Amino acid sequence: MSVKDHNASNGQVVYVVDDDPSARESLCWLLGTEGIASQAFASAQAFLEYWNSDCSGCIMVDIRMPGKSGLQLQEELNARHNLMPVIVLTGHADVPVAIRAMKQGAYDFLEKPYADEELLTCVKIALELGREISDAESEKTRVAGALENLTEREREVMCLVVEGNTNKAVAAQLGISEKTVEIHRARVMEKTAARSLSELVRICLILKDKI
Amino acid sequence: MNRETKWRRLIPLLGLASLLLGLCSDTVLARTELTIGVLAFRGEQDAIERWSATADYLTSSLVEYRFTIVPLSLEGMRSQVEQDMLDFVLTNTGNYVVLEDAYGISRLATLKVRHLGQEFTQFGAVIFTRRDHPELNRIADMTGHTMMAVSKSAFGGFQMAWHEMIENGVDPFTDLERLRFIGFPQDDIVHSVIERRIDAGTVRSGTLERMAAEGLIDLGAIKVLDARESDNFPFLHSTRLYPEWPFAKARKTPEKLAQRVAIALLQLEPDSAATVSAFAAGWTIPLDYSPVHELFRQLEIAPYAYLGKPSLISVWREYKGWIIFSLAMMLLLILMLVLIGRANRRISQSELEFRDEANQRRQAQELLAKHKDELEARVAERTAELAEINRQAQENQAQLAHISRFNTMGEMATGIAHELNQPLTAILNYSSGSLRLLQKRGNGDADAELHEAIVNIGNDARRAAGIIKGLREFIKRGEHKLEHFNLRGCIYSAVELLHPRLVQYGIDVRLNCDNDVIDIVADRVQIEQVVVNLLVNAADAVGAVDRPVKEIGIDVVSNGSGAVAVAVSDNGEGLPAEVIEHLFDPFFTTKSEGMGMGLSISRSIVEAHGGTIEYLVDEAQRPTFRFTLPIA
Repeated sequence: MSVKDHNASNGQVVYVVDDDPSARESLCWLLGTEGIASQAFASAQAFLEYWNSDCSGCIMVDIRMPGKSGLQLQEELNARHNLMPVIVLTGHADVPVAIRAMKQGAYDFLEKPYADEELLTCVKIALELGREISDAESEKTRVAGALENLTEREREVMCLVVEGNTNKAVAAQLGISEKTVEIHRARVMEKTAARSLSELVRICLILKDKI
Repeated sequence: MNRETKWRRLIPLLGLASLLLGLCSDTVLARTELTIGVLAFRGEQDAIERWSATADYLTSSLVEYRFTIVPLSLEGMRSQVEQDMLDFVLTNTGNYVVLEDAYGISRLATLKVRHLGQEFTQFGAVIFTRRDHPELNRIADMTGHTMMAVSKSAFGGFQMAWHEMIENGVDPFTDLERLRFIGFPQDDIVHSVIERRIDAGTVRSGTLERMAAEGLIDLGAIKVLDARESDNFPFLHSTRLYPEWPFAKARKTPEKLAQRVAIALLQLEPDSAATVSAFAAGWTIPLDYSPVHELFRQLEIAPYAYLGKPSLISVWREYKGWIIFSLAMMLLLILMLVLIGRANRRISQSELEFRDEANQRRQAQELLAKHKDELEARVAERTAELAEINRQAQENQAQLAHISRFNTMGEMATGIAHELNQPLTAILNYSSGSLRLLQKRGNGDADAELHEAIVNIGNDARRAAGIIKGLREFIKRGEHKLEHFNLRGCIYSAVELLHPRLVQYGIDVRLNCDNDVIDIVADRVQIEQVVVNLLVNAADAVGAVDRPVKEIGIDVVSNGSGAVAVAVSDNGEGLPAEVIEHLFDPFFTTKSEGMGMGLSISRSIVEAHGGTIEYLVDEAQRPTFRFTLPIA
């Protein structure tokens, strides 16, 4: 288990799970040439022991391994609400296995030996996706925390403003003065760190279910 | 001496002479009787009266013969001539030709007829109409008109006219409006024409002149059609002339006698009693009768028609030799037939006996054959059964071998591909990574050679990978045949397939299935192969140990989460830990003769179907292989 962080991947790591040492080490080396950080594991079990929800990046896993197979690892990760994209590798392209992997939410499926460009493109997009997902997740966490600090009145004002109502209309609906609405609105913007109305709308969309 | 005394002296002499003659003729000169058959066309009496004088004359002329007249009808004449009962024949022209043709009578003289004070040896027929008939002027005009004649068989009364009409293009039987035969006398025909009851008529030549002479008709009221002129023949006639009645001899009559008769006839005086009573003028040398033959031939009537019905006697005479010969032959034939019949009866008798014997023998043989057949059938049946069992066994073995070989090849290819693909992947990773590093360093020409070498490494690695992929796909082709089937039935046939081996080891197989029908979609042959592989392993494991009861359990559980689990367990020793680790690796085996592909193949198949396979020890501490398959 070696971590090769070239500081180019912005804290993201490609987790390589393959029982064949030369296959996994060469892959990590190749990724390194492109400045992509990677971490290798010799079995599914080893990776599961390492995994935590803070891990960021993508996972490359060989289907056929002694002990837990790639597919079983995928199942386990799904059960743990893993958010990292999973790229499945196989020595022989079996259609049923591929279908099953994709059904279980694999991001992509690569047959060994793969072309390096194909692999790198695939990994880069997966990392991008992984970053987006983790960013969205952290934004969600941040906004959710901000919303926790809003008073009941502030929350009501925010919902009406996001729906497109003017201060006057909000004041009329809530039976308070327009001035009071302005004060509430300013505090909402402050607490959620929203710089404009459109940003406030985006925040509300992220947490739609929680409002 | 005066004439009277002379005459008186002669009387006794004459008396003596006549006495002597009488004595001679009656005693010394016994006369031979000769018959003259005469056609009695007006009755026997008339014939006798007419011709007796002639017979008497001949009798007196030929002293050693006595001539007698025999009046006969046409038919009677024919019959007598046929039977050779006549010496001479006196008949009409037509009849003569018939008899001449049929019985070889030949003419000696032709009658000279006296008619209206003149003598004729020929006669014809006249075809006439009334003077003022507007349309009839020639025979050819008669088509479409009516005509009257004596009868179809009357020579002068019809046949002559018939012949003339045919010559002129008129067939009296088809071209006339009507043809009536009224028989004799011919006078009625003449009256009918004059009285306009009929358009035309035909009668024998001379009839019209006689009637005119008798004052019955006026010749001026008659118009003759196609009247002819003939030498020495003054009567009106439309036809050619034919000879009158002939006097003929029968075939048997001696030539010499006939000659003498002919001479006598020719010597008859016109005024002699014989001639007068015959209404004739005497006899002349026989004429040519061939025109009559010609007429008959053309009209296709007698003698041909007459001969259409020969009598038995004529046949007898004509074919006497043949008939006797035929009868003799027939007799001989009958005799032979009788003899053959007898012989045949004898033969059939012995044949019958022989057949009886043959039958008995055949029955015996059949019985024997039947028993033999039954025996053979039974043997064949048993042989077939054995052969079938053998064949089935061989087929099973072959099928198993085929499946194994096929899957082994596939799995070997898969295994090799997997094993080789790992280092190939590593090579490609390193080579492509190296190229990237080289490019980043940008040493240009200094690294060019190195760059090319690394590119080649990558290309060769990809080529190797391509070869492996091609091999795998070649073997894999057509491998996967998905179908709906009952997993339970599939397991049954796998057990059946291994029956001989299980029996050999004395192993009991216990199948527990929670459902009768477990419908899955898979490659049946492959799934069966998996079950077979697991059963073989279990049988080998339990067969190798000493147990009072050797048992293999198959537990099928289908109630659950969209998958069926098949567990094959045995009461053998189980597997050591170091073996378990490599159980599913290709080429890993604990058997001296194994290839180490069975479980590897099984895993490939199960995984290819989206299932899993594992080794475990169950609750009863029995070593178990368990695989799952998704349920359709």
